[in-house]
Amino acid sequence: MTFEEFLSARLAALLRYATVLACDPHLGEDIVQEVMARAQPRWTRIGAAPSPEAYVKRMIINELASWRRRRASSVVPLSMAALDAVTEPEADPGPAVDERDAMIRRLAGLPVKQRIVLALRFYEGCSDAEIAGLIGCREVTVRSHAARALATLRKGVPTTTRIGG
Amino acid sequence: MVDDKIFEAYERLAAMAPAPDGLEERIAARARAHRQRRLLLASGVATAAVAVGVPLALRDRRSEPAPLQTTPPPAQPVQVLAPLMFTPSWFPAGVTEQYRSATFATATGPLMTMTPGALQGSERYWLPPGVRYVPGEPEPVGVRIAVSPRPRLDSGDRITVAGYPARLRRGETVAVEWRPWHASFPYVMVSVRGLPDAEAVTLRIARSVMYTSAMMTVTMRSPAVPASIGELTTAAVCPAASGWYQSLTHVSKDGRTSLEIVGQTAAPPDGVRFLVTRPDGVNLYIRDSAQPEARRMLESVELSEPDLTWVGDR
Repeated sequence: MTFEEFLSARLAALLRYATVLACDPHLGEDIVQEVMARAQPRWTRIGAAPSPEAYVKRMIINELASWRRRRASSVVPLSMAALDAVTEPEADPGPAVDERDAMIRRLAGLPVKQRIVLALRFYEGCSDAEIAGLIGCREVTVRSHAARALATLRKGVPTTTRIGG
Repeated sequence: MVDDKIFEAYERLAAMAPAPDGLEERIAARARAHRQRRLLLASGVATAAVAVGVPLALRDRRSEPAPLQTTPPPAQPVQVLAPLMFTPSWFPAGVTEQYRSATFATATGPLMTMTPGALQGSERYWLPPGVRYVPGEPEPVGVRIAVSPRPRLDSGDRITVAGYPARLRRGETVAVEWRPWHASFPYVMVSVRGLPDAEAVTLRIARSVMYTSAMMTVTMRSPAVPASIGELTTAAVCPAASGWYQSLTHVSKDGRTSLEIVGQTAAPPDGVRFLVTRPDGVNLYIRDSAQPEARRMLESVELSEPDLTWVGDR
């Protein structure tokens, strides 16, 4: 399968996969774009792998994790506490929070590894062994990430982290 | 119960995934940009070698002296830090950073971003492969972010960016300007020129703008500039066809008096009144000034090779 054939057949699915993992459609699109641009020059090798799609999905997971590390090291968001210390905060003119999306926001607020584990388990239907293989850790670590994530979600406490942030 | 909600959330997220329309072409463009960047990097090393090597070789061969020999470069490289303040965290495919400038208090170094009323600013350009920003020439195709103490857009549609009032001006260059977070912050303007979907791209970049603690390293100093016109300094740096360009613009606090000193590896433009060519081939000149002390200011300039490690990043 050529690179163009792969893109044509699997791009939409990869975008859904990255969006679910990132909990952010824009970030998902950026990550797919970045990964595929880097995969193209190496496609001879990737295309010859037993499952090129699995290889690309692993690249997406790695990119998501390193993307967040890169952003965290270069961008320092100003804390709301620091801003409030200077002036009174303005009223948020944005639309009212939609209760339907509360779970998405909670998922988006989870640490990235926990989020990836949950997405692979619930959206992709992967077993713990498959997840461990994809993210490069032991099965017990996968179960630990999943348990912590589910415990956080069950608490039902909305996080303040913005989607994709 | 929670499991059901998680399933539903993922189904909703999957439904929010962007359509692949146009992305294939952007991926191809990214791959092309990646290849060109690697080529540029390779040619940049060659250019740097030529920029350093040729002036040295020419100096050895010349029988006549250089126009004006000045004090040699300082043994210790000049380094001052100037705050960049804001940065986008999203860019359209293919653009990379090619120019940056930032303002600092000449005497004390970085200005704090939350000082009410402080005159401060920065400007950065992200350009497509093959496009170069040349100071003084018309604005190139690409993305620009500018931070300034006063608004520059006095017309345009009223919109909001992250919930804050903003102006959107459409045209050959699409620009959005707003003041993030609160009244003591400077204004931020994002403008996009000549790129596809310029309005959507401008808005998306604007929405991604975040505060950054990153600093620009300034490698030029002009100690002889009088304090009356040198309270604030804006430093600029960019790569140039034959090496690099850097400048210091000194501005009095009321903004009425300014003086720009340029250092570059290329030949100076015609009509420059005060020019000094250093032994290492770097040309120092002052633009548009008739001040009698200009030559003394020029001769006192300390300068070292600029930090261009950020060039080509996003």
